[in-house]
Amino acid sequence: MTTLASARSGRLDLLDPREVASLGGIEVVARGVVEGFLAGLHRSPFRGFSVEFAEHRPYQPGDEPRYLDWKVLGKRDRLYVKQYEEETNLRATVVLDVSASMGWVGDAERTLTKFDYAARLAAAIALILVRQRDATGLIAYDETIRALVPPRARAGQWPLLVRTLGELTPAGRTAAERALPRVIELLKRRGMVILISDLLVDRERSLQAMRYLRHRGHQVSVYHVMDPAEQELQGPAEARYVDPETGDSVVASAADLRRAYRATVSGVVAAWRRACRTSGISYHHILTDMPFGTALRRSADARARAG
Amino acid sequence: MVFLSPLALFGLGAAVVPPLLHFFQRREPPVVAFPAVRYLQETKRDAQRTVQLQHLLLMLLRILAVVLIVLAAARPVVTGGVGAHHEPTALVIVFDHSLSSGAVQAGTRVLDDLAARARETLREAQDGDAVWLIGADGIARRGTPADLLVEVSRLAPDARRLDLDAAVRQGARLIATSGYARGEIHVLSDLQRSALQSTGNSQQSTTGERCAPPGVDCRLSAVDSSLGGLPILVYHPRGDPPPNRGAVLARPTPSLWLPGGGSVRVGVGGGPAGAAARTTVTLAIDARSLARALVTGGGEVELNAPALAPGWHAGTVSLDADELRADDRRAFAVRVVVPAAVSFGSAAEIGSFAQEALGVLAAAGRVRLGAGDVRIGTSPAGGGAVVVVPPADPSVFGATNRALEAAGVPWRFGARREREDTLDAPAVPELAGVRVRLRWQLEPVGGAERPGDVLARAGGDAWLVRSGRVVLLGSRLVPDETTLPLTGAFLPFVGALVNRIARGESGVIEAMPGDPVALGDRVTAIASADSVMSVRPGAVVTAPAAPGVYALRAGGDTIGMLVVGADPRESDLARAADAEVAALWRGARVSVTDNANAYTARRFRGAGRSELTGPLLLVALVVLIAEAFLAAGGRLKRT
Repeated sequence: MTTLASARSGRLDLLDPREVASLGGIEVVARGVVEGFLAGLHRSPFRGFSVEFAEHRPYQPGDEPRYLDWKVLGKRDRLYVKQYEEETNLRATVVLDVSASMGWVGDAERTLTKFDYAARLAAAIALILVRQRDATGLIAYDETIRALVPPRARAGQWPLLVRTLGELTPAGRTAAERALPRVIELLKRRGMVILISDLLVDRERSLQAMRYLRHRGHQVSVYHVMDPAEQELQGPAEARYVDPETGDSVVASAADLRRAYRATVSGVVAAWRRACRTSGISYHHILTDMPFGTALRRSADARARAG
Repeated sequence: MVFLSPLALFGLGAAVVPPLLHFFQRREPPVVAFPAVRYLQETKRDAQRTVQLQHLLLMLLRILAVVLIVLAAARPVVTGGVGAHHEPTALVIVFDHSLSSGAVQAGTRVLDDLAARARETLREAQDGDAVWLIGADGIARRGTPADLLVEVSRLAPDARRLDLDAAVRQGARLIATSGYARGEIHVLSDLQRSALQSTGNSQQSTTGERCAPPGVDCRLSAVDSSLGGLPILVYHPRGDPPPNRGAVLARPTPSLWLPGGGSVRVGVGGGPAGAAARTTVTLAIDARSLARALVTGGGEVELNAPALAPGWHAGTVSLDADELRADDRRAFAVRVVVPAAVSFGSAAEIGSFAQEALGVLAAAGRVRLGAGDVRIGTSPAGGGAVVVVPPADPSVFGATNRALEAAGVPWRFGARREREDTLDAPAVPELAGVRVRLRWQLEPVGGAERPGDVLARAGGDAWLVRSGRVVLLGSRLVPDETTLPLTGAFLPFVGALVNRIARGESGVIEAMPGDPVALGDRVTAIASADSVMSVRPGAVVTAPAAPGVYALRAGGDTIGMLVVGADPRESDLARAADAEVAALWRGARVSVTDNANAYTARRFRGAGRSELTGPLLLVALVVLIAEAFLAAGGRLKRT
């Protein structure tokens, strides 16, 4: 009932990601999610910090009320916000992990693959940024750079990003620690870096790369995407679990290790969160059964707390 | 602890199945794609020891479950415990405290072992039970467990032999008429093989007056009960019975002694177990040891006694002590008489051989010639004892028969019969093998013989008859009619005829304890060393339970002796096999054991003890639940 009511009210951001994805492609989903998401916000989650006025644009839900042009409102009875020059200079780059592990899904009937979820999340974030006229780009990687869309603030940027995302398929191994230096080379101007990955990588080496980005003045946000089945071990009494990326395997009994495994995953998440916090990196743990709006809201809240 | 189904213990082998499965059933598990293998590896590395311990614990729990279930299937039973109650049961305890129960086996008297079992059972009996105790006397006594406990404590080895088969069938009838739905017979016995040989209408048939409850005829003769399905629990002492030798025979020979003395034939029995060893036999008369001899088990020996004064003499034969003392001594009695004074008409009347024989016997001091005690002739006329021989002249038979009738003798001389036959005379050993060529048939007047009158037969016809103080011979003592005068037995026979047969034998009655004894018409009392019991003349009484010699009195005179001796079969301690017992009581649910714990476990159909099957299954259930919980990784706790 809640789902149906949410669908009728247009709040796709609150629906089950699997159901939302069934409504259309990445573009449709991202638009629906963002519309719903912004309707529930009082201020834009991704804003610039310039003071030089550039132009007006229609008010959108989520925009800061302080940027409303009260004179225009008084004269024409319409809501417009003022845009500033530097705001359009925010360079945001979504860095998306497209390794083979991202193509895994624990229960295809109930959840999206990590990649499908991450692609729609990336499109939604990009749409929010583009609507703020921020220069938004995309880097997809596994061991190497698989796709690169340089950050632009032009009108056709978001369709390009969506098209690029639609052409990607997860494959290959993840070696973020090797791909990230290349990403660093591509991000010469400081800006915002949004890393969306399942983080099945060497933590220290990956963190070293992210710290370097942070050192270069980037704002870094990490979206740790995880399938619910990776958090809660399921499976037969005894099975050989094989990593589709590395081919590593281990024989284990889900019943024997379920409890300890849950503790291990909690420890891993806590370790990532702690390490990111100490490095000034924003960390978000996202499960693929989580509504997109919830994922976006978490990042928005985190940014709001960060000021 | 005992197991009611011990064969189920073979199932303990199944306890190796869980370890075998654990160690050898290592099949390749299914492959599952899982990207977070690194987390799993880390988890497994950290939890390896815990998981191994968990698996070990699981295996132990499974083994324990198998062991518990197998033990439960074996139905272990312990004595005592909680809830030792049973349904109301009609219980008959056949307690064999016969003579053989006095044997000492492995340092313990058999009777004490059996009594301990009886006491255990009676203590376990409940108020709602109907309990009977049948002892060696064959009488069923019903009482409360407390009363019967007292009764059991009083029991001692009894010289009477208990017919186990009859006692069990009597118990079955009591149970059948008790109105109880459940019944059991417990046989506590040394289980002599001889005790299983039924005597049929035994001595107990006359002793039903003490049977309870009133109105129920408990005499063994009235037994007619089916054993179908009835539980019969038989307990006997553990181990083989001890070797035993017993004095099974002590018989004066001849039965009536002359002052010159006689001999006593002694038999030593005890069955095969006691046959090999030799033992010393001691003869004592009037408490004086007179002779000794060595004899092997199963053999006989004749001990000579010196001259004794005329009168009644009591004696004993005794053996060396062994594990069963009660049968090492046997009593006997003998009467010593002065030689009979014999008179006869003429040589033509009794035959020259008889006349010569009397002369020889007189010369030897075995008889006295002259009127007095015995007269030999062709007519019963005259006082004292008379030996009537057939007349040489056939025309005289009519007068002889009339004289016999006039003297009240219920026998007469019949037709002459000329056929050679061998005499059959168990009571007159001197006539063994003697042949008769011609005889006059001795016919009972009225056609019916009186029991005990006929002492010897020839070809089925009476040949030697005694009726009161008149003795009739079927042939004249001449070689034309019988070979007797030409044999060496002629002189002993003539001596026995006048000294013993004509004068009414020895007057000694032999009986076993509890046997019915027909006393003579003149007996008015039975006297032992310390008591006198009056009896009605001609009565049939029960022989005393205690072996020994009892005087039969007529007024102040001793006219006979009653010698009571134990049944010789009691000396044979050989035990019956379980199969023999089961075959004897076919149809019943017979359970034979020499294990006190097993007996305890099986009585009251095992209901009165704590059978551990239920608790074991409960523990097994708890173990299986714990195993399931552990195998599920503690999911129950988490939820």
